[in-house]
Amino acid sequence: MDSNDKKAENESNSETSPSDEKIRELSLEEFNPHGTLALTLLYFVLLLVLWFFMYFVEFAGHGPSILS
Amino acid sequence: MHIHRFERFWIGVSLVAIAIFIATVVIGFSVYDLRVIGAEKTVDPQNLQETKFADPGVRKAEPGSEVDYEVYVMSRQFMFNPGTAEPITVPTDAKIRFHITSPDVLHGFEVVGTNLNTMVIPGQVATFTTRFDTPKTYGLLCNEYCGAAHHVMEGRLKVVSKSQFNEKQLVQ
Ligand SMILES: [Cu+2]
Repeated sequence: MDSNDKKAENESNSETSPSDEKIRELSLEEFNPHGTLALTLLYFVLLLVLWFFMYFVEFAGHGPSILS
Repeated sequence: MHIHRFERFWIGVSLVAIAIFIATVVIGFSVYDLRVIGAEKTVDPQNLQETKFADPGVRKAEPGSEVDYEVYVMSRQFMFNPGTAEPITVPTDAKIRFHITSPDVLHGFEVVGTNLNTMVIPGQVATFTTRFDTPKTYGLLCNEYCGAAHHVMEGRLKVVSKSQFNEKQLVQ
């Protein structure tokens, strides 16, 4: 079905456009953005790994250091 | 206020991350003994001939001192004295305290490839203590722009093993 057909069908079926139609109603608790959660966790893992690399390898491992 | 459980979860994760960052710095400070340059002594940069900087070099620390050797370095346009004309020579396995000052302009004192790095401000004495575990020759460089020949201002720091260190070279 090409876009012209779709448009024609929508016009004939109802006054409202498809974006206004509710397909399913979700409460806040039912909305579960697992992709966002995975991305956020990946970011935290990266942050911690890079922090440990920077602090313990690039800084603390870069001796001799100032002792006092 | 209602917060979605995913959001509650990653707010919690960020708080844990902050706690981990603070913990690593505390571990660095206590277990690894990492310090930063602290409060400085001040001197009159016009009257350094009355201080130990008049006869700079490596000295044996006074008895009862918490360090073994004291190193006085004069950083001036465009050399470290000692360091540039002859290397600063220090032994391994000894506590060494550096005192660095400048009679003219702002310089930097960086032992290349290490965490030993300080600004050298006229009128202030930058002081830090360190210890070298292995013999090695390090480069020294000035990392604060100090004039036309700043780019050639460099020197050497020679760490020799304790047994090879000749105390006769020390400044008395
Ligand atoms: Cu300089």
